[in-house]
Amino acid sequence: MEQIAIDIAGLTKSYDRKQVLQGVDLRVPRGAVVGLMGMNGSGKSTLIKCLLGLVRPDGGSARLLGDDSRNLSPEVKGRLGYVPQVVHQLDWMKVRHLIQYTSTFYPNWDERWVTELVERWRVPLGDRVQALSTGQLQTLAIVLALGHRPDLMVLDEPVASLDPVARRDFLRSILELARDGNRTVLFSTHISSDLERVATHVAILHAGRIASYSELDELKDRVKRLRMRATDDLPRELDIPGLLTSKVEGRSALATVSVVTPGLVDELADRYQAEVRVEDLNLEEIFVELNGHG
Amino acid sequence: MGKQIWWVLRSYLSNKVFLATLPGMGLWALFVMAYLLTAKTTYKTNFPDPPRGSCVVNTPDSLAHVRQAKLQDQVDYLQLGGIWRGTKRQQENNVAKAAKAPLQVTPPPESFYDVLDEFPNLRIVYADMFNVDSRPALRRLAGRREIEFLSLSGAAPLDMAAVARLPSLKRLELTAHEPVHDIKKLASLANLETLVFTSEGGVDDAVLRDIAQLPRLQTLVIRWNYFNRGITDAGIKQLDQSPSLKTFYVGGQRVPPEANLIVRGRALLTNVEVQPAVVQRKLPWIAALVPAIFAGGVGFVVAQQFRSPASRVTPAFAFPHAIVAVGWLCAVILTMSLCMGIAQQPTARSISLCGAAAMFGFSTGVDGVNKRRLGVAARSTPWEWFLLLVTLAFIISIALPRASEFAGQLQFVIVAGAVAFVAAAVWHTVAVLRELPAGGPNEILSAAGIAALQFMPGPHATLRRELLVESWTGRPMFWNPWARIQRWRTGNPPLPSIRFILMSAAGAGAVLVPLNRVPGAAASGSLVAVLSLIMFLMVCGQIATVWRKRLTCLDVESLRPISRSMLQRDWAIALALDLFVPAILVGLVSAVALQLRGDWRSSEAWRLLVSNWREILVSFAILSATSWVVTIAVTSLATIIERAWLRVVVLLTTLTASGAAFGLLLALSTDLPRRAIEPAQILPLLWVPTVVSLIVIACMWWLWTRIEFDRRS
Repeated sequence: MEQIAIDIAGLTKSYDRKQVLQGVDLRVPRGAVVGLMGMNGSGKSTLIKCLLGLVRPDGGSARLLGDDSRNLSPEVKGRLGYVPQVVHQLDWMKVRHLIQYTSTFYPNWDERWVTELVERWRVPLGDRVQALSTGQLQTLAIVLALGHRPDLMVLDEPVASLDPVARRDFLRSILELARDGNRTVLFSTHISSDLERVATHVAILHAGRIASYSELDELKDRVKRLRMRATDDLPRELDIPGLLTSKVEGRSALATVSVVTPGLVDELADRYQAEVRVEDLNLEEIFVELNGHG
Repeated sequence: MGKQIWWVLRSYLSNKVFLATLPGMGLWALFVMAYLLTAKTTYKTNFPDPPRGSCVVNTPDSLAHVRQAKLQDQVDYLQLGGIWRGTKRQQENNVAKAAKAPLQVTPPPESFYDVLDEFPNLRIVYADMFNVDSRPALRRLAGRREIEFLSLSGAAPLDMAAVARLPSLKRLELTAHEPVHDIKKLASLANLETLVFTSEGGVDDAVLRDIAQLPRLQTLVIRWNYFNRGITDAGIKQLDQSPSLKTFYVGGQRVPPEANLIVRGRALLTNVEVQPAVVQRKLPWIAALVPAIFAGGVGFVVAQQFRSPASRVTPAFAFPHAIVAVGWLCAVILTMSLCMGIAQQPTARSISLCGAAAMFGFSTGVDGVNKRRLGVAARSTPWEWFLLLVTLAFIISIALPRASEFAGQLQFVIVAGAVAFVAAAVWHTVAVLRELPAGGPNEILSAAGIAALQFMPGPHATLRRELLVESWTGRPMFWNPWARIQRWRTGNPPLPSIRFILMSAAGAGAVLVPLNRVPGAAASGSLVAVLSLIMFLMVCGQIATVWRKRLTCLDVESLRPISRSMLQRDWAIALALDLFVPAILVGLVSAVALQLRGDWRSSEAWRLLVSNWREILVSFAILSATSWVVTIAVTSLATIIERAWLRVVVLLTTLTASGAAFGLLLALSTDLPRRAIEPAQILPLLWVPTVVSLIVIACMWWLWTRIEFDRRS
């Protein structure tokens, strides 16, 4: 079995004259749960669609479970699960018939697992799809995507319309699915607290490029905020390696740095004759800082 | 006010979809011009409609009614053949109930002709009864000063001396098997302007020489059923010597193309204009197709205006634009009707057709802006058609026994039906416009957003499909391509197509059967073919809508464990299968209708069907296959192309192609070109646009479908 589930190199895509992706590189190992973050319009959905072969990229390459994404084999498609951002289903059907219809495409459909998910998420089997609320529709889409226990799940903002309880259940299911370490999950979201619960890796997309991609713990260890208090006024422009954002007010300063090492703290304390304190950031703060909005 | 009008106009003109229709309209204009060139120059030779205000006796019923009401003095239009054949039919039905046996018409006894003595003021007399000797009729008519029109046929030689004793005669129609050598006796008729030979047997070179000497004759018509070898170029050239002849109409059924009559005639005659002779009864029905389709197309285009982004955000957008839309559509229908000559028809059937066209236009157009309304229309349109047609049929049926005697009354009845059609169209339009919300129909679109729901044909079909899905438990579909295609098709909601076709057919039958009893208004096969084609187009529209809706799920469906090429092929086959049954039905109905040629009497129909089964089979194959192939391409394109203006271009191009193709098939199967004009002249008019358009369609289908599908899957 391939060790790299997703392999993206130099992917570019533009709509009309607007360059949405400007050379995205991303390698996701098998078994990783990757959270894809980015501001609105940063190209998350486009990246996912290029990855799945739903949109033709202008340049670069994308491979999924070893296959070129523009020409996925039936075998690889059978190992894929996808939940789109905007869910369209065969809405004249009743929910149970849609599940039945979908199941016939997959020889490895797990009936018991689906029944369990349906009960857990209280999906109304007897209702027509068109009568479901947006949240219920998203829940149903997730059930349909998980039903065949895919090796790779790609979820485009799957929890945006879910209530807190459903969101928690969904995250639990993702963890259950990825427990064996062989299944890979890529999901985009704006809710960083969810990512912190389940993600092993985080990729942040900014201005059409991957601004940061690493394991979650490594990211949190790496990106720190430095609170400085000097004896004299500090210069308006701080000279710190890996500086993301900074705010200087007289003898005080706040600086966010992408890579903090013990040596750096000592060096800054000497250089600016200041007391330097290192503070941890949560994922949301890291995302804001990495996007230059600190 | 002026600012608002300018605002609305500018809004229309800035709509790309709207502008994209201009080339399409140009194509249609060319098509109409081609039609006018072939239809306007023809000469009508069989039963003309009775002049307005005429008092007509043409059936036993009308004769009895006139006798009972003692209106003999007012009768000025008499068809002896209609009375005699009707009498024979009544006798046969009363005695043997032999409804399916062909009618055996025997010559009437001498006493039958006494009926002529009852009517002193006859102006128009048809004394042509198949191959019956007309001399007894002529003896009774001799010396009548009121007769202006006379139609004669004869197994025996025609007595021209007796005809010459009708001093007011203006037009004479002759059906003769032997050359009428004493035609020169007509020289004494000072008013005779038109001479018609309804078959070629009555003319040879010698007769043409005599005709050329008639002093007042302005129009000569010779209908040839076969190429007449008794007439040579030298004989035709003698007509140039005529002192008064202006126009020579020539041509007919079954004339081989190599005869080239019109071209030959024009080369030989320098002083006389040569035009084709034709029976024109079917042309109005064919012509009705054009405004109907055009109105539908324009309706669709106008509807696009309500889908523009401006309609979503501009306050009070809908009402002024709707007013302009109504005006635009009415103007188009009126212009088309006038151009096609429909409005000039003496009977009011044209009005009813225009009404139907208007309703069709609004149904497909204005409803198209509103998916919820579209669904309602999809369900209710069959009922509307059915109810309207049955109402019309009911009016005609009730009024028929009394109305048939008087053309004026009959016209009133048809006008009433036409008014019912138009009123329904107006009601429909008002109802639709009232539903438009202030912010445009997009409000409803976003609120409902569910197209498939609208096509629910009822719980039974849905239930059947649900049971089918349930039966798939534990049966993955990979291994059997047929099962796979069936499962793709099951993803679409069931359509009411069959119910729609059956109800429309029942409604059409309800109006055609009684209409067939009306003299001079017999429903032609072309009308049925046109109606079936319109129904077919509407069904195809439903199927296209459903597949278009299905494409919104393409993101998910294209990630099923099936290769991209297999998915494309499966969906193409599934779409083709959806269109198969409607194509078969329209082919069958059209083939049978065209073969019957308006004769819907059960005995004649059965005999024609049995004797012409080979022709029916060939027509059925051609019509079904063409309809199927063209609609697969059209529906695929209409389904898959996202840009609206491109869809309009495709739609108009394909409409032109299918219109030309249908015209060609209709022409070939009804001998129309051979009657209307020289085949050498008309066929390029039909073949060229048909073939070119079909090639364009094929290229567009291949190119765009691949590009779009590839891009989106």
